[in-house]
Amino acid sequence: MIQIAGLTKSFGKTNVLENLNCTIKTGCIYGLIGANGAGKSTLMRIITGIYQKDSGSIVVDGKELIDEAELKEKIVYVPDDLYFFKNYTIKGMITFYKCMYSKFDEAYANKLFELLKLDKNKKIETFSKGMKRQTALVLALSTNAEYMFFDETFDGIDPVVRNLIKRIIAEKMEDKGCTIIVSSHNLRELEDICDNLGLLYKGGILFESDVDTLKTNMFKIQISLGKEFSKEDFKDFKVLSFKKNGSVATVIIEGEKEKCEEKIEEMKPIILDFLPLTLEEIFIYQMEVLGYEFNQVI
Amino acid sequence: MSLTKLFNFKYFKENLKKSKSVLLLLLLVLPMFTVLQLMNDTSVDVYTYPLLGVINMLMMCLIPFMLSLTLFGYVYKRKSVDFMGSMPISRKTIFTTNTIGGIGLIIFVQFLTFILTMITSNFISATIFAELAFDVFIYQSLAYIFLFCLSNLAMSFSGNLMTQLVVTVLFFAIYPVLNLYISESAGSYITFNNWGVNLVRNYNGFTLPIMVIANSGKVAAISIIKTIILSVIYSLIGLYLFTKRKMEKAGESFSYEITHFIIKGLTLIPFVIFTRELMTSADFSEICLIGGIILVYWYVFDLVTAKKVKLYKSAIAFVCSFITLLVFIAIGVAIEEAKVDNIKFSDIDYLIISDDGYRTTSYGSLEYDMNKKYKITDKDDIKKIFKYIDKKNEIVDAYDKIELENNESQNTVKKMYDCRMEAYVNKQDFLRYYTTIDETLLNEITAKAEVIEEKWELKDNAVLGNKFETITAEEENRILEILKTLKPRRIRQNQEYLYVNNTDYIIVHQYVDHTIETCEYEFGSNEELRTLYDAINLREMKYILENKKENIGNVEIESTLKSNSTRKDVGYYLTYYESEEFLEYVEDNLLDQKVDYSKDIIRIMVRLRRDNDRTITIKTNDYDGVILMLTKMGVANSYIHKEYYYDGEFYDTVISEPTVSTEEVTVYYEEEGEKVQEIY
Repeated sequence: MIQIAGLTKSFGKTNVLENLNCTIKTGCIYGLIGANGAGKSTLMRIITGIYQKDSGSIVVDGKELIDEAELKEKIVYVPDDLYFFKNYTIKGMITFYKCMYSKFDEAYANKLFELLKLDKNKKIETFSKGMKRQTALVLALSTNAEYMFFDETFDGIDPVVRNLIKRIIAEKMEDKGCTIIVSSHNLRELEDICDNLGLLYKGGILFESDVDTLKTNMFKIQISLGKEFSKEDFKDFKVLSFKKNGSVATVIIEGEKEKCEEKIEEMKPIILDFLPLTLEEIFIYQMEVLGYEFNQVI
Repeated sequence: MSLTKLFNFKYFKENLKKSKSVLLLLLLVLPMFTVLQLMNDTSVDVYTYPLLGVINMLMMCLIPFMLSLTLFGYVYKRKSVDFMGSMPISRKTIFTTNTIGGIGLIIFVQFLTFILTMITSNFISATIFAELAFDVFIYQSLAYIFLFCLSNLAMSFSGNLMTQLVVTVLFFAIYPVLNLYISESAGSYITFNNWGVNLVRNYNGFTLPIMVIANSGKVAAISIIKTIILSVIYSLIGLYLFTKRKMEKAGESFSYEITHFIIKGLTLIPFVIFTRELMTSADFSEICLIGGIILVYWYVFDLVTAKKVKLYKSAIAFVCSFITLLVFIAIGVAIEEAKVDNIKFSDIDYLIISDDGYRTTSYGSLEYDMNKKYKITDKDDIKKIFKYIDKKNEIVDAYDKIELENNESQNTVKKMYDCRMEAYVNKQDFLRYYTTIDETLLNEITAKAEVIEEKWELKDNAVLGNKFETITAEEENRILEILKTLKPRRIRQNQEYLYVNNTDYIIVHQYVDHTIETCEYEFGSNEELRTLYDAINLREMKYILENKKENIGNVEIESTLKSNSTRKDVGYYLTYYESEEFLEYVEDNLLDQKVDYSKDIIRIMVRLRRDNDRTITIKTNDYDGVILMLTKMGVANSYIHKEYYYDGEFYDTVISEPTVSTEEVTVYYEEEGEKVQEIY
């Protein structure tokens, strides 16, 4: 588990992270959401030991994070801006990773490179942006580190490979019980992969929750009551959004779905459809509850 | 700290692998260059080997910096900082691994150079013996390591290639430059020149690279210690800065405003020195103009390194920095001046006489720097010496032309003040010290000289097959006896150091005639000695012509005419085939002749192959015979290898053979494509 408390980091006069508190549980895929410049990469760089914090504490598995090889071997980081040694092939990079990470699984790496159809003998600098990212991801996944940090991981990867990689990441998490922290400014990218989400805004975690709880505590219905009705008719519910178009209204309600469903049935609706709620919608309404405009946050 | 934390071999191996081609080039350039230098320049020997040529000096500065850049550079780059920083290796280990590994590579390179030097010098018979090469290996290694540690520190200090280079140069040069400038500006040189005494530039106070560059190979223990201590200190500061480094500033010139300001300020020092020098001659408007130009530089520095300029704030900082540095230098000069002015000779604790080992052998003069110093503590002796020095108040340089019997002439420089000094100083006082030296020093000189001689002999053996004895023991003894009776024409300069309060010292130039080992003689001045040498040379020439003809390189012929100074002197460089034909004539006609030095002489110089320094000279009075032989061979009529000298004038573009009559000599030569006639 990674526990971050009161983390502060500034670049000159700009505070990038300010009194940030956050807990990343073991064995989950944690999505770190935030607009550009929210501090996602800085947070990751501090946890991975690249940057030094100004104040606060980062505790990894009960030990304060320090610049120490043993502790750092538990962590692997794939930055947004990728780097490979000049003239290196995948084979060369594997050798380098093997030297750095004692638990590096070469067979697993080879399997994945084969699966992704990446030529191990070709110079990496000749690869496309997406291929380079796949290479970095496979190398990182093969380290068997306990905490894997992926910054804007799916940038430049085509949808088919993206889904494949998401599956690989999920499998890795399930098989090895490792923790994967993925950052993105695009919620849709993380929707189908993350267990937990943290929203970074102005240097602090604005909102943090696990996706299942979010999804079970909120639902969207399309409803028509066969008579004139308004938001007032739903005063017994915690309505996050009410939009009426003609005689049909789309309502987003926060609360336990079963209990609410009974109450809605009592209203004898002539049309009642339960619609799937996207993570983005959940966030939009959560933000609104917290008094933020979603567009300003992400 | 465990060993793996100090040096992570796996990481270092990978680090080397990633830049293998650059590293290979860096590691091989020095040994390769040294070997090529030895192979191409056979004159490289015991004296010249420790001296660094320009290219060697350049390599000494470049290799450590490039090595540091190769090992560390990628750690600081904006693109690679995320990658490297997140790897499971601590910053401390990265720094120590690269530093220790880099030092290892330097030692490897220097050792390889040492080994190759030994192999090559044996192969080419150069007189570089193992002890000397090993000394060079040690101090060169230390100099390289020092510069490597300095570069690493500069890397930790700054952020990109350009600033790293600037900071390295600054850290390396700022102290020596300031030190030398302040000492030089103190005016002590002029003051002491009145006594014929110069303030010594004490390079011993500097680190090895400065010593090597400035002091032509002499290395003092204090420099070695300083170099080692500073290397350690630089590495520790570098390590501290590296672990504390703000990696978010990767790619930027400096991590902190303050370091940016300090470095910018230090770069002003050369400008401040320049301005200070101008202040004595330039007027106010010129000084303002120069100040303006330097201010522009100040802004440009900001633009390049910080990508922004704060016009007014920066200008104020510039003026403050400039004045501070100017005042700092002025104070330094004032302190130095006061120090020199305050030297009271009565306060002198002791006087040091140093001596260069020097010995004349059958092969000519051999010199070996002993770097020995002998202490005079007797206050009366010191006072006496200063009393003599004090009387002297002028320096005159004069040239003394020495005419030799066979019309050869040689200019030697004699400094009058040295001669006058000699008159003032009771030689016996010095001799007393030298006598005590003789027991220890001369034994060492002899031992060293014997080593050198042994090497020379080995070299000759390599050439001559160990069959020809160049000089017999009887001959050598006879030569030494003759040398003792000769008055030396040129005396080797010795130096006496005067120590003041154990810290500063000044140097007095003094010529002392103490033993024959410190003197150089003109052999031409003694008939018997000359005859002895002629006999040895003839014997050697005979042996070579009979047994080792293939060792002959080129043959040069030169005439020295006694009877008519206006007659032409000729010099020929014979081609390979001409040499072969001519040497047959020499073998048949000239090897049994006795030379009469009152008549015209032709000298035949035979240079041995692979050994440009080794020349056997035989002389003959058979002027007409040699000229006839050369004419028969067609040499005299071809002007390709011919040089003409007329009253000191030299013509190499003569287009036809000069016509010589009793009254005049007519020469036709070409000048800018035109035929010119000159009559003498």
